[in-house]
Amino acid sequence: MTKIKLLIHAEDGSFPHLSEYLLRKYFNPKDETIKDHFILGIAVKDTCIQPIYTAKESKKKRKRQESDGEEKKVAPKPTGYTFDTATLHEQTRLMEGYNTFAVPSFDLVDDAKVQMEKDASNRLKNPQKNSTKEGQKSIASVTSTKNHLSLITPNGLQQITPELYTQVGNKLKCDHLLALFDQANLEEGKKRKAAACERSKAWLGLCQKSHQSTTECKSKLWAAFSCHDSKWTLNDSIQYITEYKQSLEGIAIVGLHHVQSRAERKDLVKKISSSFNPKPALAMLAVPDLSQLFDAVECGTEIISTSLPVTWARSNKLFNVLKVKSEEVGSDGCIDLSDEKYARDTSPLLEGCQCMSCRDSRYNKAYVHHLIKANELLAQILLFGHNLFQLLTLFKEELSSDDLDLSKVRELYE
Amino acid sequence: MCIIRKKIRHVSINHAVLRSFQKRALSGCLPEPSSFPSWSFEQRPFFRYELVHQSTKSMARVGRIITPHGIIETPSYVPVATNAALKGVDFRNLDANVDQHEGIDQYGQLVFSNTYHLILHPGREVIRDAGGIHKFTGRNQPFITDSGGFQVFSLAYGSVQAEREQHSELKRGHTVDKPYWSTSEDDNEDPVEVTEDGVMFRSYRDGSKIFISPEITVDAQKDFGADIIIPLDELPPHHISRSTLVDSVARSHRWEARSLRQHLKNVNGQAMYCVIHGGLDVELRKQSVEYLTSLPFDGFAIGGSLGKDRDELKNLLNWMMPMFEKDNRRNKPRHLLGIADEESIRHAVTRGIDTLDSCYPTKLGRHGTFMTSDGLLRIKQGKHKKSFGKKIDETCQCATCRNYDRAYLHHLFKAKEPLAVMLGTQHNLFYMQNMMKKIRKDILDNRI
Repeated sequence: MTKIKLLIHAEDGSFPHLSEYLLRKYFNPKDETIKDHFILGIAVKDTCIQPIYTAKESKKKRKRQESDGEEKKVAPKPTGYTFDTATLHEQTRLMEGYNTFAVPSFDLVDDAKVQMEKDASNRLKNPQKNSTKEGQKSIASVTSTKNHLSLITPNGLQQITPELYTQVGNKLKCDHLLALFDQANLEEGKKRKAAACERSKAWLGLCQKSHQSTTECKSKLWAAFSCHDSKWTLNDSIQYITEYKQSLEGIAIVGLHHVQSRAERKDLVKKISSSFNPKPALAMLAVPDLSQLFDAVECGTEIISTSLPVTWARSNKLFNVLKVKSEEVGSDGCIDLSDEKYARDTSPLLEGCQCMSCRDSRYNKAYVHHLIKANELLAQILLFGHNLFQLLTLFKEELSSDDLDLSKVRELYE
Repeated sequence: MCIIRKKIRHVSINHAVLRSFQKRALSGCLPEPSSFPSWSFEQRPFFRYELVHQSTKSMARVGRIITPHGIIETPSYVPVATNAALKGVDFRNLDANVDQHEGIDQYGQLVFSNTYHLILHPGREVIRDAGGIHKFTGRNQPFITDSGGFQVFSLAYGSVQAEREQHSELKRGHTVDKPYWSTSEDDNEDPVEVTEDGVMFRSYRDGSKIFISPEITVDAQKDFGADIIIPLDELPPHHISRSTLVDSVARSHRWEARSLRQHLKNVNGQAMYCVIHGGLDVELRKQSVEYLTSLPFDGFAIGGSLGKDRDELKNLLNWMMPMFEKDNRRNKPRHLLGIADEESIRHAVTRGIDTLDSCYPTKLGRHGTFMTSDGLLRIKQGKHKKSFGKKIDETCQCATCRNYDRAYLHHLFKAKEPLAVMLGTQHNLFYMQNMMKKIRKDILDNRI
C-alpha cells in the first residue's frame, strides 16, 4: 500500500510554532512516522527573498560617513530584492533529516486574495494615502508576463524567472522541487486562463532544462498542473507534460480547491491521473479541509499538502482521529476548546494520545481553554503539536492502511 | 462650658518622640507574636532553607530551598508565568535546563504566577477543581504565587516609571489611562478602593467589581496550591508623605498578620513569606523587619517601594540586608520582589538575596531584546539584518543560539512571526538560568 504523505506548509521557512527542543523530542526526523509520512513544504516566495544593495551607492554613503567623522556604521537600505539562498538547512536553520519539498508558493491565487484583503484593509485605515484606484482589483489575480512570475513576498511583489527559480530551488537542496507555474483565478476571462496555461507549459520546459544542466545534488522535479475549466487547456497541458514525463518525479495539482463542485474536482483528478501511463505520482497542494483530503486519497494522491494543523490551532481547535462517531466533534474532526464548556473540564486533551501535549495526560482541556482565553501563545503551540501528531496518525494508520475503507472513515466525520 | 484656648507655641521637633510615636502607630493593633500558636514557630517538615556555603567575601550565599515539589538551588532567578504559562515557551523547555545533582532528590525551577490574573481567569474554583496549579498546568515543579496586591495597586498608582514620566506623584485614583470599562463621568472615581478590610477593584476583563481581603487572597492561594504563597500587603506609590507611608506600612503589617493567621488554619503543605515594607525609610524598614520576622513566616520577601532607580535599590539593600543576618533570620530564605535586571541581581546576591522574580527577561525576549554576555542586544535594529552566521551570544548554548543567527532572528521579529517570541523568551530564560549557575559557582569559590 502506498504511504500517503502529509506535506505541511513551513511558515516562512520555519516549522510553525515548534522550537528545536520540541521538534527534536516529538517530531524527530529519525522517527519512522516522520520518515514515511511527513514532508515539510518550503515556499521560495517566503524563504529565499534577499535584499540587493547597489555597491556604488553604499560606497558613496561610506565615504560621506567617513568625512563626517561618523564612526557608527549605519545599515544601508536595500535598493531592491531578488531571490537567492543557501542550502535549506543554512537558510532556515531547520534540523537536518526532514523530507522537504520546495514550491514557488502553495497557491498563487490564495496569495493574491490575501494581498487584496490586506490592501483593502490598508485603504480603510488610510483612505487619503491609498486613494488611487491602482491596485483596487475586484478579482484576485496573479501577476505574470511571458518571462517571469511576480511572487507576493514579505518584501512585496518580486519577479522571478524560471531559470532563477530553478537555480534557487536546487541551491535549497530539497528532496523535491516543483517547477515554476502560473495560475489564473477561475473567475478570470479565457484570455488570462489561456495565458496561464501557456506560461506554465513554457516554464516547465525552461525549469526542466535548467534543472538538467545543474551538476550539483539535484532535487526531484515535479510538474505543476494548474486547474483548468476548459477541456482544450486540460488536454493541451496533459500532452505537454507527457513530453517531459521521463524527467519528472510526479505531478502536483495546484488550485483544485478553487473548483467549487466536488464532482468536477474528482473528475479532473481522475482525468489527469488516467492520462498518463504509467500512472504518475500525484501531489495535491493547499487542501483546505478534511473532505477534500479524503477525496484526494480516493483519487490516488500520494502527497497531500495542507495547513490544517496550524489553521485548526489558530482557531483554537483540537483535531482527533476518530474511531467512533462523536457528537462532540465537528465535521472537521475537531473540538473547539474556546467553548466555555471546557472551562472546568480537567480531562486530558485526548485520552491515550502520545503527542507532546497529551503524553502522560500532561495538559488538560481546562488549562488549554484558559490559555486560549488568556491569549497565551502556548495554546497554539500545544494545539499545533497535537493536531500535527493526530493528522500524521490518520495518514499512517488509516489512510495508508491496506484495509482502508474510505467510506467508513468519511462517515465518522460527516 | 468654658472653652479654654491655649496658645500654641512653636516647639522644636523631638525626633526621638516622633520615632516613638511612629513605633506606637506601627505596633498599635498589631498582633503580638505570642498570639500565634506555638507550633507555628517550628520548622515545617515540608519546607526549609539549607545553607550550603556562605561566601567569605560578602553576604552572598549558596543554599537550597526544599519544597514539596522540588529543591530550589539558590540564588536563583524566578521567571514569571503570569497566567500560569510562560509566553510562548513550554515549561518543559525551562525545566530541562535545571541541573540535577547526584544523590539528592529532584531539583526544580521555581516559577512565579500571579494570583490577580488567575482569580480573574480561569478562577479559583477551576484551578481548585483541577487539583491545584501543579495538576492544572501539568507541571510537577515548584510554584510561588503572590497575593495580587501588586497588580491591584498598580491600577491605582501605576508603576514608578509612570510616576516619573508624569514628573509628579500619581494621586490616588489617577491612572495614566482611563480604564476601558469606566463609564463614570467622574474622572476622579477611584479604580481601587482601599479600606481596612481589604481592596475593592475592577476586573480588567469585564469591569466587574472584585473584593480581596487578606483572608480571601490566602484562600485563593490555598485553592491554587502553590508551594510558596504571599500575604496581602499594600503597595504605596513611590512619592508619598511620611505620614501616609507610616499608615500604609502599619496596614500592611495588619494585613500580613491576618493573612498568616488565615494560612495557619490550614497550612496545606505551603510556605508563606512575609513582605517587608517601609519604602526607603530606614526606621520604617527596620521596624518592618523586626515585627514581621518575629511572626512565624517561612521566609522573607523584600517588597514595597524599592527606590526610583538602581542606585536607590542598591543603597536600600546595603543597609537593610544585614538585618537578616541576625538570629534565626539567617535560616530562612529571602526573596526580592519584582527586580531582575542583571546589575541589580549581581548586587542583590552579594547582599544575601536567595531568589528574585521579574517579568523583565521574558518581556525583553518577546519584544526582540536579547540578554547576552556583552549586554543587551536589540535584534530589530537594522544592523542585524545582514548578520549572517552570527549568533546572538557566542557563549550561549541555548537552542536559539545553536540553531539561529541574528539575521534570521531579525527577520522573524520584523515579520512578527510567533516563532520569534518563542526563541527570544527561550534564550533570555536560558541566559538567566545560566547566569545564576555561574553566580552560584562564584559564591562557592568565594569570588563574590
